[in-house]
Amino acid sequence: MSDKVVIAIGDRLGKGQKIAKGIEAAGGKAILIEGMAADMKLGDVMHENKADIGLSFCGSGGAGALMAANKYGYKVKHHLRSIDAGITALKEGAEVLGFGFLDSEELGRRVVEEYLKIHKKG
Amino acid sequence: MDLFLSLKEKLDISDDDFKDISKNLLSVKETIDNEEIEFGEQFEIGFYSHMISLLMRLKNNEKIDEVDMKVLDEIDEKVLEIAKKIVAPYFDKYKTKQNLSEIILVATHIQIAFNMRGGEENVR
Repeated sequence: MSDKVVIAIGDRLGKGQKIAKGIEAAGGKAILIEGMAADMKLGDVMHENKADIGLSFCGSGGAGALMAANKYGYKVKHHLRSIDAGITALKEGAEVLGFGFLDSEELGRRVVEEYLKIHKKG
Repeated sequence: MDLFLSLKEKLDISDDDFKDISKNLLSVKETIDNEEIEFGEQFEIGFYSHMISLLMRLKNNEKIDEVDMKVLDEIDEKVLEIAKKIVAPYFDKYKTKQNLSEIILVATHIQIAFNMRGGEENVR
C-alpha cells in the first residue's frame, strides 16, 4: 500500500498538467485524467485508484465534483475560486474539490502539504 | 423537475434564483429532448449542474477565463450549433455579451453524449 497522497485530476478541457507537477514535487501521486471532459470521469478514476482526493475543474467547478459525490458518496465542496478556498475545504473534510479553471503547480503542492498535515501520512 | 430540485439543494441556490432559472432549465431540457440527446443518469447530473452554474454566472455577470480554442478540434460543428441554440437566449435574457467559451463548455457535455451513443454512460 502506497504511503503517498493519491490525487486524481479532472479538467473539462484536459488540462491539469501544472497541478500534477506540483503534486509530484510535493511527494504525492498525481493521476491526471486525459482528454476533453475529464472532469466527468473523476469519480470513477478516484474510485478505481482509491484516490485520497479528487480535483475537478470547469467553469465553476461544480459538474465533475457533484457527479463524483453523487455516484460514490465523496464529501464535496465546489464553486471554489482560489487555492485558499480549496485548502479550507480540505480542512473541513472535503474529498472532492470543484474549482473554476485553475491549473497551477502551487495548487497541487499545497493540496498535498495540507493533506499530509491533516492526516499525518507518510 | 426532481433532478433540478436536487441540484438546487446541492448547489445552494436560493428560492428566488431557482424560481427564475427553473423555467430556463425546462426550456433547455426541451431543446435537449428535441435534439434527441441522451444523457445517462450521472451525465445528466453533470450537464444540468453545469447549466445551473452557467445561468447563475450570466445572471450575476460573472466571467470565466477564455478557454483554449484548440478544444474546438474535438467538437462537431452540429454539436456547437446545438450548444449555441441552448445558451444564446440567456446571453440576451441577462443582457450579457455572447461568450464562445461558455458555449464551448456546454458543447463538451453534448459531444461526450454523442461520442458515447449506445455506450454505458447513455443507458438510462
